Amino acid sequence: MFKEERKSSRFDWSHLGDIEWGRPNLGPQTAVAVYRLMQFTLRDAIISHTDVATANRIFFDAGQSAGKAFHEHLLQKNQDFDAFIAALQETLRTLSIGILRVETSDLLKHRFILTVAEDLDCSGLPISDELVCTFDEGFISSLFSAHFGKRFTARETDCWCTGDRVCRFEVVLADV
Amino acid sequence: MTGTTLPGNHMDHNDIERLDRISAHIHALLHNEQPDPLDLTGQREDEVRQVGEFVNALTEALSSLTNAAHQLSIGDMDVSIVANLPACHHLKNLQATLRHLTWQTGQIAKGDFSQRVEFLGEFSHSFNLMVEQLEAYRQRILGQNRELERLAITDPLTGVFNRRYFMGFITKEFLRSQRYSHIFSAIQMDIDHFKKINDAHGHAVGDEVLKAFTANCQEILRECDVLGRFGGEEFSIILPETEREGALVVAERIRQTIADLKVYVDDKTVRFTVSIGITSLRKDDTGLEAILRRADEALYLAKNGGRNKVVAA
Repeated sequence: MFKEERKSSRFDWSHLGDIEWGRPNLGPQTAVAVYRLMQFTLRDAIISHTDVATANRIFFDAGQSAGKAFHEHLLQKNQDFDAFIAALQETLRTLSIGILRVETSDLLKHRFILTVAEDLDCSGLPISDELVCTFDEGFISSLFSAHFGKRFTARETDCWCTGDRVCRFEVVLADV
Repeated sequence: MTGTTLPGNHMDHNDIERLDRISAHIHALLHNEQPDPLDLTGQREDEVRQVGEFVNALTEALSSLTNAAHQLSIGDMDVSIVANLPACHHLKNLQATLRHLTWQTGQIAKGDFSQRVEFLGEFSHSFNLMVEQLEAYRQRILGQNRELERLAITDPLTGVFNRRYFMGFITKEFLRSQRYSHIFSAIQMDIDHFKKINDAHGHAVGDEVLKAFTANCQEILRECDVLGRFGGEEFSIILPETEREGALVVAERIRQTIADLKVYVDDKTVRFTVSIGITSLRKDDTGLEAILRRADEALYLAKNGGRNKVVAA
């Protein structure tokens, strides 16, 4: 299940396990620092073993798998765009992932600009002039792909690490 | 600038002059002027040069910040804020909030009244209150419009459709029947001796009779059937997808129900009957008028035949 060789994603929501059953005393929450400890040590190890481009690809792909599963299990299907954004905002906030806001939504051209404040991945990191939210790029692109039934791509244009106070993502149809 | 020491007791005339220029430069910055960059290269004192470089960097950052703040203040939300001062971070935050607020306003204009503003203190409270009020007004207007629409198409006394709506409906039903070769039947009804009821018991009792009549008809009709008041004590029914035989059954049920009906008003008991004429769409019907005329003629025959009758044409 977890350690089988594979060429494509085999992630399934059931891999997250029965947290309520497994953690009767500690419960489902943990500290943001612990999440980041995992995220940045993993990135560190991947870059050490391969290179930055490979690390980015891995985080993007992982984000895509996460976004797909997230949409399937936590969001309703066949909503209109406004309802989709409202539900996404609510869910991201409830799960303390970030505060999602929309700056531009062009439903005809399929172009969107979103920001995430208090982002789980990067808010408060040292300024490094790097766009570090590669996982989020995959995550958001997959959410939009699942909602619209078309392939979308998300690109981070501003990040806490580049000196902004929100992460900004441009989401567009892929291959356009 | 941590660790930088400015020249102190050993300053000569030139040092003092340079520091005066720096002081004037900073003064200009603080008063929102645009001083020329400080040129202190090639000076003897490293410390003074460091001050100069710092001031030049500060000048550039403050200039960028001032420009960004100005652009934001006039509504340019796409201004690029490049300087990396803490104040710039706050401006970027404000910029992101304003961009989102712009999008939210657009959403509200489109009718999405679920939008709420956060993070803007008292403004958020006022804005959210405004949206809630707008939504409340909108709901009230929608409710009033629905009520106006209802009043425009119904008879205020009985609550059944009025003549105008009924004629519109039967016109559409006729066109639909022509286009898709569907059948429908029309019923014309007139309460017998209604004037006598009014004369004997008063208009209030007459009104109760009309209400009881329509309420009993509605009980018999299907949801897709349409009952309308043509005026006075005259009513019509359209029975979509109903052949002549089916219409006869409905009409007879209405006639019998009304004949058995007792209307109690105060201490009075009123009984009355209804005469009914029916017709159904025929292949050679080229206009609505022919159908309405046949139904009227059938009603006339029912009246002349002794009333409390159903006649089909």
